[in-house]
Amino acid sequence: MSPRRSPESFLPLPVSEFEILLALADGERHGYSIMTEVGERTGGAVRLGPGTLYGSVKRMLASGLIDEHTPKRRGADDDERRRYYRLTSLGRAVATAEAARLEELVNQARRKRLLGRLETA
Amino acid sequence: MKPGAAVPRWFRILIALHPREFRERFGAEMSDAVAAMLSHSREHRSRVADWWFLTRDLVASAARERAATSARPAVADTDSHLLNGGARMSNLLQDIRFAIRSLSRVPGFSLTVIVSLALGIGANTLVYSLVDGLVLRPFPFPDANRLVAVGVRYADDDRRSFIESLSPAEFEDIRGTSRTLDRFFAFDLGNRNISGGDQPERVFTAFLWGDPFATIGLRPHLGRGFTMTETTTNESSPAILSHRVWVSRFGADSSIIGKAIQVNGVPRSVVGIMPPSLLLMGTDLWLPMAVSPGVIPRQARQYAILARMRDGVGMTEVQTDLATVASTVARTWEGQHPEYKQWSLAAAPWAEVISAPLRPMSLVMLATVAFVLLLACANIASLMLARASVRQRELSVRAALGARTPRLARQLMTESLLLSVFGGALGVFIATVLIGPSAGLFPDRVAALGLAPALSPPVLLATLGITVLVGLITSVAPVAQLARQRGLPGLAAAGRIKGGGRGDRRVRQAFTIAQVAFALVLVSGATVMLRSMNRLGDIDPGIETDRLLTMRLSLPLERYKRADIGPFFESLSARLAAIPGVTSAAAATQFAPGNAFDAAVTTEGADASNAANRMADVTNATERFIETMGLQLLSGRTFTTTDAAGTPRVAILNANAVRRFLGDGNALGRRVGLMVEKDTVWHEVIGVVSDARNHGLDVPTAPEVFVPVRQQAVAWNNQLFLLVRTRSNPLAMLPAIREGIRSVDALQPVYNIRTVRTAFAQSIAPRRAASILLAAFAGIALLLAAVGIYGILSYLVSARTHEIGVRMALGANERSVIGLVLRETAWLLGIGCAVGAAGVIAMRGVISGIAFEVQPTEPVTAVLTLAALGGTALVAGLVPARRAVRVPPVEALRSD
Repeated sequence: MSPRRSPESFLPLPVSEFEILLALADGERHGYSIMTEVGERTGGAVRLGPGTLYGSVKRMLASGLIDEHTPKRRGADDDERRRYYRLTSLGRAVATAEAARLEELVNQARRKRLLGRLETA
Repeated sequence: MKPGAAVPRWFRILIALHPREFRERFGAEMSDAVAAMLSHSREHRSRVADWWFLTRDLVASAARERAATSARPAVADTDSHLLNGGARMSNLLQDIRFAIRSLSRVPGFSLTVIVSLALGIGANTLVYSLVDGLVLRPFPFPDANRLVAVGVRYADDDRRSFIESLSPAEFEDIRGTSRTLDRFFAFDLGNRNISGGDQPERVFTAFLWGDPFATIGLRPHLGRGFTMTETTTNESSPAILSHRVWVSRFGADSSIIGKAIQVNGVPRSVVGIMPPSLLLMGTDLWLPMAVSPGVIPRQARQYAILARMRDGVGMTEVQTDLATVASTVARTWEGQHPEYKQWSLAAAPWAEVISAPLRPMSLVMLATVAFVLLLACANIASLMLARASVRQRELSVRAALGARTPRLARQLMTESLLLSVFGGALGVFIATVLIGPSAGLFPDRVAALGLAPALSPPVLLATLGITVLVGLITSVAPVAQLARQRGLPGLAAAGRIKGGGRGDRRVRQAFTIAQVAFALVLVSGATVMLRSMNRLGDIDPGIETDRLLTMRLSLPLERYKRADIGPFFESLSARLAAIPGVTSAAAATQFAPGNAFDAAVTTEGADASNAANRMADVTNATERFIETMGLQLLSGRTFTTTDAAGTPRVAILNANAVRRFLGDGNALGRRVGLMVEKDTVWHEVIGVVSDARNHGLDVPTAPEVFVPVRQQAVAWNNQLFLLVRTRSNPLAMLPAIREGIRSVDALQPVYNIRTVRTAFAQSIAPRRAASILLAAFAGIALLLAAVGIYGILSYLVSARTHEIGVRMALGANERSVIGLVLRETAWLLGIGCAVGAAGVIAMRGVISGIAFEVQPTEPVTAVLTLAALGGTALVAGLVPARRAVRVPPVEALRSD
């Protein structure tokens, strides 16, 4: 396995990988479910195809951002080959770091008056 | 849900494009995701969008993953015992050695692939080189497509003409007012004698205004070009020689610049030598026109105009500009020159103008060899597939023994490449051997360009690339299949199943259909050409071509006055006719099949405005021309000694001219007017003669008017053809004829010596050449198709030995099994025919463009082609079928 890297060393994260991390943030999912979650959450603005998805999954597995998980109990319609993916703690940390990086970027855009300031309470 | 069941084949293919490791890990999940996505897009429009999205996504990821895989070090690819420093090189050598061994075990297969490849590559290289050298890029000019000729078209012309089409005044109009063209020059063509030395020599000459070097964009080999002043005045008398005349006649002596040579007996100083590749329609001598364009009458339209497009100007702008020039000229001159009404000017690249006559034929030839290459590729593909499935077992065994898939793939690639190298080499050899003779089929063309075409390396590489690619793809496909089966299952399956699955079978059937169709189209085309040639051979030229010798002789105007020309040729003809062995002799400005001079004809009371429809060939001829040529006198008389200068002008018409201009009544005694410059010169018709093919065998007879050479009615001409009819072999009489000419004028060179039979043969030479090449390629195509069809069908049938054994065991009889095979064969042939027939119909326009009086679709040809292919297919199917039914069922069942 690759040695543990600091979360910051993954930044900036490719869009597809960040979307996958977001999709897995609230629990494990199989591949197609990741695709639909991303599609629904972004209102169709971001669409992951199977090629992009599994290419990213391959890299994220290799770098330890996610891991594979086969649930003990299966539903009746569950294919035996179906694999579930979930965040590792590194993955969660990287997602947080990427979100923070993006937030800082957005703040800078506000300071340049590219976006309206948030109402402060 | 069955794995991958709902995934369309297209996406299975796209997923299969991913690297093996990736596929093994994620392939099934990707299939599921694709299936799920597609099942959720029910609506038609979103379905199309989804397909597009998925296709893009999978292609991109396949490329990405492949790139990632190949970026990794490839140590794992090598066989374990070769893991050392020189592993790669010794692997390669080992692969090559192994490939040679394994190919030499199947000589039939190897030879068929190599020969197919060689024919495909050879044919393409040969034809493309010919077309490239003779048609597409006939000149090595810099920026050749910006060198344009100006062409003219009048209201009643059906084509634009570029050569000998514009007058000096029009040259000045264009040069003076065009804003898009510059660096003009204009030329007229003729012949001159270069004398001094042992033998006077006749050279093809261009007479110029302006400097061709500046326009063409090439530097003289030595010296300089003409200045505009030199070409418009006669103060100096410069000359420019071609490289080949400079070499052959002046021994490549570079001190010749500034020295004088004799041209038609007049000294001229050499100012330049052309570069070695001839520049201007094969002319060997350039002389200045030596007169101001303004002094020549506006209607003396015998000049060609060339110019360069100005920088940054496009062809459209040039055409608009020339249209403006034309309308300005028309406004100014229409009163005096009604022909300017609706005239138009346009430019075309010079190379295109020069190659226009050969263009349709070239396209047909290029298409033909492309077909040949396709057939060769199809053959190679099907042979490779067949061999690969036969080798499935070998590959499985090697895989089971630990050879890795990439290594096996490389092994197959090596074999394929080795075959390509041999095939390519043989193809180059074929093309090299044949390019000389093939170019020789177009002698006029080669002579005009001064160079025979050479092989074109880019074509060679391109065709080789295509064939290697086909070889690689087809050879590697089975490895990919093997990789999917992985190990033992493949071994087990390969042990029994031969001939692949349904898809494999379909591919082969498609190959068969395509080959039948291609062969049908090609053979139909070739047959049409050959039948055209036959038809041409049957055509009566209208004259007796046997034992008739011709040569050309020009009286230099420096030594002969215009009035001397007629009497000179009459007395020379009489002198030649007196030679023992000569039955008759004559001279004329032109003769069938090479007529070139014409004039407008009027008759009394006719409407003179429609001049273009009233053109006739006008031939100045000596007394005995009609009988020497073997034309039949239909009525009236031929010329006599009394038809001389100062007596009433007389003319003999051919039957076609009588029909065209005088109608049905008696022609004798009526008058025809020939337009000479602006005057009409009236002639009394004294005779009518039979028609000859005066513009070549493949062109309908033109109306022709013969006038006595002594009356010099039309555009007096000092270059006449001598025609000598002999009792025996005419060429054997040549020394006596030369001696006869020398006795009249010792300084006269004769040139262009040939028999009239040859002249007729030359008039159809390009057509003949194309027919020969096309027939050869069609033959090759038929051969390739037959080999291909045989290979595929015999393979398909022998792969069914097992099935046939089962059928026989279950009680089928021989006839029903053979019937089964025949039915299938007939089906494939039938579909191939239908596709081929559609192709022939689609290409009818192209074929009829090159055919002569033959329908482009000839059922007889189609039936014959089909019979040939059908016969091949039957043998290919029947031989293995009969073998299969003879095999005892038990053995067939046991066999693979």
